[in-house]
Amino acid sequence: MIKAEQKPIDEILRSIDPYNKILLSGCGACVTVCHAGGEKEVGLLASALRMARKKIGKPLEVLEATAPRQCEPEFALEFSEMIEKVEAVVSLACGVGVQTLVRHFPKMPIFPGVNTTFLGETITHGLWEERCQACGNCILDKTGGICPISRCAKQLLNGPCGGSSKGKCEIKKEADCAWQLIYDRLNALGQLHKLEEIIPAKRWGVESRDSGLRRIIREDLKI
Amino acid sequence: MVDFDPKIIAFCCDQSGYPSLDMANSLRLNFPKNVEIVRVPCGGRIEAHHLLRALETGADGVILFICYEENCQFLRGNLRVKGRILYLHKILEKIGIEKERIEVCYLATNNGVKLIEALNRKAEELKRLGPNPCK
Amino acid sequence: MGQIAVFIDRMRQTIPNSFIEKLHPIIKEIPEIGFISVEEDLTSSDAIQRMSKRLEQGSVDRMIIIGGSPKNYESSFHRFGFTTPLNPYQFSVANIKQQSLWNLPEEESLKKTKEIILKSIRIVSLSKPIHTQTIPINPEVLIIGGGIAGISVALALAQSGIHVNLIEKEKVLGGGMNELRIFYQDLGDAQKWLEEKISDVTSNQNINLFTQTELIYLKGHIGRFEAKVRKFDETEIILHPSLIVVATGFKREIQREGIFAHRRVVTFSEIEKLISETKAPPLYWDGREIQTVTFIIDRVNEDIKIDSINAIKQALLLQNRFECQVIILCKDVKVSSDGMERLYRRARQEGVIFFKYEEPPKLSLVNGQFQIDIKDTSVIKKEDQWSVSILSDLIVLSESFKPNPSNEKISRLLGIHLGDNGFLMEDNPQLLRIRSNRRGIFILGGCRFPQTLSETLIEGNAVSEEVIRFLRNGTYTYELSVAEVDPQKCALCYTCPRVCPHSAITIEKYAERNIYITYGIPEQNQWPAAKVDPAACFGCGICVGECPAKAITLRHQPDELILTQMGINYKHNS
Repeated sequence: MIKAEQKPIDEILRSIDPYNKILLSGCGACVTVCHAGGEKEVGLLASALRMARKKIGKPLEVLEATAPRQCEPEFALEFSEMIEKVEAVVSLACGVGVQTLVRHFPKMPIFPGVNTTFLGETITHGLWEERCQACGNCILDKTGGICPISRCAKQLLNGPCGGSSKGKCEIKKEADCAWQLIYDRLNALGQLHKLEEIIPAKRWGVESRDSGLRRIIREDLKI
Repeated sequence: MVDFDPKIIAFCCDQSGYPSLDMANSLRLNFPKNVEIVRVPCGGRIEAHHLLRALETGADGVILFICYEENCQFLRGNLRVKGRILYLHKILEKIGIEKERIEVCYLATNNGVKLIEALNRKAEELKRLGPNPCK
Repeated sequence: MGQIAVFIDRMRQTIPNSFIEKLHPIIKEIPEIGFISVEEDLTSSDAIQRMSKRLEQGSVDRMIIIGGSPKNYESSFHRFGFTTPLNPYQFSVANIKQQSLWNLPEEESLKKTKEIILKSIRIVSLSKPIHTQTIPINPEVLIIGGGIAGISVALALAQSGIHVNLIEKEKVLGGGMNELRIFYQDLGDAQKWLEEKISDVTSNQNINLFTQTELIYLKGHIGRFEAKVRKFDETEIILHPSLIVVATGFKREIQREGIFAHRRVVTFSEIEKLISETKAPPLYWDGREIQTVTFIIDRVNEDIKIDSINAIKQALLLQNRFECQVIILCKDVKVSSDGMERLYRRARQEGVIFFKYEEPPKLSLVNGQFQIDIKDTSVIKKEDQWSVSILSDLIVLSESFKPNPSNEKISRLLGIHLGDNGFLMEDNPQLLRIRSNRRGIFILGGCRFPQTLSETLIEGNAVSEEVIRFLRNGTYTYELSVAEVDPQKCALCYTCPRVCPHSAITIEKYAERNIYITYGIPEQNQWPAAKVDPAACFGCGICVGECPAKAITLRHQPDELILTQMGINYKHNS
């Protein structure tokens, strides 16, 4: 799921500095699960913003609302009524949610309230780790289910670098070496022969994120 | 230092805070003047947004009377609320409000005297810090 | 909303009449008040009857008491609460006796009293009624573990007509007690006693015994558990107990390194067996006549007294029956068990020698005998401590007590907590120690803490009493003062099942709010969301504070009641 972290409050205060009445919109999906932008965080942040502005003598009115998701047009439009009453919006949804609102409310300033950090897995409660970078061509079948794009600091595709030491990465000392994990996993599955298959370099500029705006078009689904 | 009666909201949990409060009351100990008591079944019920709303709507300080660690009848209520307070302190720092305005005080069932001492100490501290800048 | 009844408690003249007279005009101003009644003492035993009579006469559906601390009124009102016309949750106490009557000049006292009364009225206006719910329960119990703990509970329950399913991992029953041959209290035959108990269990109509069977899956909550067990032949059976008792015992382990690997270093079980099987002196072990025996205990588990008890019992028998010389090396002589002080004194009289040590004894082999070197710590000054050397034919070592290796699996399957040391953890040391953190699941005996047989039997009695009392009338009634999840807001983030200390929350398929009221939604219209089981919930509110989507409310203390107590007039945000 998308993981995010709330932006430092001073950054948010700077974005809404010229405004006196804003809408703080939360999202009930990914940011709720990682405790960064759900209804609970909306309530907390609204109080904090009001207090910070009152302290400097520039009172701020904050409307609070949370949609089940902000990345569908219908859910974004649910905010229409409230948006008419405010001067700006701070959205605690991920980057996708913020931009969905922007597309549907072109005349309204909309600011992000969280930093969208990565696509990650829950390890234990309160600990999330990056697992996927949306490269567009999944090679997990070749690497025993462990992704070298997101978990190897150098994104190597055919084995570890010389810096892999005692199963740890030389770039990020706390991280496990992805290729050590891949080796151990394929070994446990009895599939070490898969390592002999060379994985060609990713075509970042052709089918991946450096190729410009990516789209999925499903003609069969069009209404 | 302005002379005023700081408004303190005291959250008391049913297992330690409230019995200590009863004990302090029956011993006729002197309370500071402007104290509101909120009774909760366990410290774990207290949410961060309750505490911020308290400061937002005019309280000068908030104090939580909950059980000692490892003494919570529901095993982890006081630990959860401790985590919420840590998060809250970070927010308070960012918006320029003194951390001392939200405090946790650990009690047992019969700490009536300790409760009154904590309240009086808090009132003194808040008098020194001054009224809530966000009132 | 009906009107509010106001009872003023004079608390036996502690609140003066003149004060009450000044209160009347203040209260009469408030429009929602139904009537005001002044009473002498609302904590007396007939107070409830008098109040009930008054309440039947008016059109009131909630009430406040103006008097002393809520603790004075709540327990009695709550107990009778459901028999009065009012719901016990639509009731608030204005504690003016303690909070505004003393230490204040009259003007201020009246002002503060008015504030407290108005706050109580706001609280009680917002309170919603909370009712009880009753579920039928079967008199059926699952006992995990066929040691003496499980056996004793099974027999007690079966005698009360409760149907027991007893599952045991091994082929035979008896568990750790199979190693015990002699009772310390009267030196009687422990195995014969155990065999009688086992035969009672196997022949009892109310007990279904499954040996070589393990629990593989559990779902549900108190009164409605569903357990799947797997037998030795891989068949699986589904059981539906109302309650579960865990009695899986503990393990003994010994590190056989260096000199401790010698053949003449034995364990307690081995010497117990030797003593009970040798009919007359001399005692032989490994082909050698044994004349001196040294016990070395407290090397590993200092806080457990079983070794002390066994050592003294066996030492007495060795000294008495087999004319050996016994020396016991220990850190402390632990005799805090019934009759042990007498036994210790007898052992000393018979000639058993006790040494207390601080540094571990040093062992070596000298001409085929063990030499044990220690410092005699029975003098006060360390410099005066003598070095003592003991020559011994046999050494009896204490084993270390370890948790049952299946405790982790049991803890995971049942949702009960493990302590730091790997043993199962009781709910709260201040409450009954046989309760686990989960309502309806009991733990007793060595799986919680290695203890003597008599202590285990006492815990067994406690468990049996609790179980019998619970299953007595075929139904279980509980109040709905619990947490409730709004399934439409739930983001399935799994925070609340992880955080709930009582394992009362699971992710299930259901639909609609107020799930405690409506039933019968067809399966295809249900969706998965977190669900709090009302019978298993303790109403602590921890999940309410953790939920990131604010999907959980605490029925007896929703947010609006907390904000009202803080003095804020609650309004919905929109």
